[in-house]
Amino acid sequence: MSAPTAGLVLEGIDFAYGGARALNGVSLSVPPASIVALLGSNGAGKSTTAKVIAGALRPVRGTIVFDGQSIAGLPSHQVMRRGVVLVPEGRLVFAQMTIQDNLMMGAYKENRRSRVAALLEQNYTTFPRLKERRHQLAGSLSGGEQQMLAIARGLMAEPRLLVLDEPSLGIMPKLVQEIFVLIRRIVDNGMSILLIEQNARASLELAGYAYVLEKGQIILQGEGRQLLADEFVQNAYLGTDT
Amino acid sequence: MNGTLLFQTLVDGLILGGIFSLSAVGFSLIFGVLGVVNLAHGVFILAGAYIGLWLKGALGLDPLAAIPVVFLVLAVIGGALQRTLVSAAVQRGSLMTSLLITFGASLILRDLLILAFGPDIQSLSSTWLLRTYHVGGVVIDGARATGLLASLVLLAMLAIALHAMKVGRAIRATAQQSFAAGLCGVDSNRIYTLTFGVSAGFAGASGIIIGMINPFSPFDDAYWTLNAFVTVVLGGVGSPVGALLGGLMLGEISTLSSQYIGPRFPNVFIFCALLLMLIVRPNGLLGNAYKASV
Repeated sequence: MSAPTAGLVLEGIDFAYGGARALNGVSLSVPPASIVALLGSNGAGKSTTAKVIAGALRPVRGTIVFDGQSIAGLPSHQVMRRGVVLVPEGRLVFAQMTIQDNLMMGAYKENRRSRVAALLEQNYTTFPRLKERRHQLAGSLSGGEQQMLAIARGLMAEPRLLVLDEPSLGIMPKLVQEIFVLIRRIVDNGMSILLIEQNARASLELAGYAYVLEKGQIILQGEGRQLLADEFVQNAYLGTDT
Repeated sequence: MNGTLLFQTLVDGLILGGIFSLSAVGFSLIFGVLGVVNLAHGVFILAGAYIGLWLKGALGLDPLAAIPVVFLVLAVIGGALQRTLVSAAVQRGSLMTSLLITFGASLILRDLLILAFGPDIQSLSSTWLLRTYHVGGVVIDGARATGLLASLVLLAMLAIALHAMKVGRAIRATAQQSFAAGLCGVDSNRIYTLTFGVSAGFAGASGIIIGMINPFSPFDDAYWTLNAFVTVVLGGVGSPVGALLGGLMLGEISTLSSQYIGPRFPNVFIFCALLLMLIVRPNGLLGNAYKASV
């Protein structure tokens, strides 16, 4: 028996949609208080990995351990109670609910009203724009603001690991900058982040460690800076893209 | 045109509309949250009326006081139906399969009602409900006044629960984005069971009120399911306010057309209104409470 490892450890995860294999022996780990990036092109299996971690999809084979406890096969509403929270691709805010109701949904597992109020206050300090518009419907926000709301909703659950699936997708560059600054700040508070991104350069600059996923397999891994200098990564993911 | 008659007709429409609203709100909620068209809805309503009848006969319980009991019994029946048959139908088949399953359940439940209470026409009226009141030329009897009031109170309670309570927020969130609600920690299966149960409870409560005002028989179920369907199309899916608007429209169209055109004609006008709404606003007056309007 090995000692329980802190953080998230995936080992040999296989997953298939019907007969189509999407993940093939994926192993990766996210140590506590760190940023790990998962890169890859469209259809490489990044979002599938995110959903498997969050419990939305059940892996065919492999283990998922978080802070020493197995979370593989748990439904998503239980995985989040273990401290692993996914901010899904496409944001998926509750469009017909107010911003404040969205945030309060994030703190759904919390039964103490005073704690919910404190979390709200904390997130409104981090996201003043959400506070100004807290009684508006989430559907009235711009894409970037919805992303902020989705991240804030995730933070309301007080995760120890936040999985961000494509937070910069379809968002104007200025806000993308803001989101990356924010990610840095979240980690300073002791949370860890698994950053799933197509924006390879910004992610690699931020991440301590990174994995590259291609056709459902990890084909490359290393420290962020190291991958930034890697010739294959430069050709395949950095190119003219900034 | 006689002013008092018009006013009386409008008031009658209002009362009928209040009942239509309450009887449809559960149908609307199930469709909005689960996407299931519950064809057993009309039988839930009648089951409420019959359970009220039994409580009155066996325990001498006043129909109005029976509402909480009937609500609970129907909530358990509805929740059990969802947990067993409906969820299995949706998971293993499709939403279409749930049509067949709920239709089957409605036939079984209706036959159980006939077995238990017989096929005859029954009524739930109490003596105090028969008293009539005259308000400025308009005649209202106790049953109708109580029915309208109880309908409005119950609808308001549901609206408050959906908007101000944590569980109501979880229901709305699940209806909009069940995946994201799961990521927030909501067990969507529990929410579906709860929604089905609460909706059946409201159907049962409306059955009591219907029984206080009109005679009923086990064969009325299709009529009430159809009315719920029309109410939801007119008012919009998923919200108590939508059900209220749709129900009031249905009630006024019914009474005005039968008063001024003829008692055989309400259906013609109701379906004309339905067609018109489908052309002008296919999602009903208020649209779907959980999805952006098309």
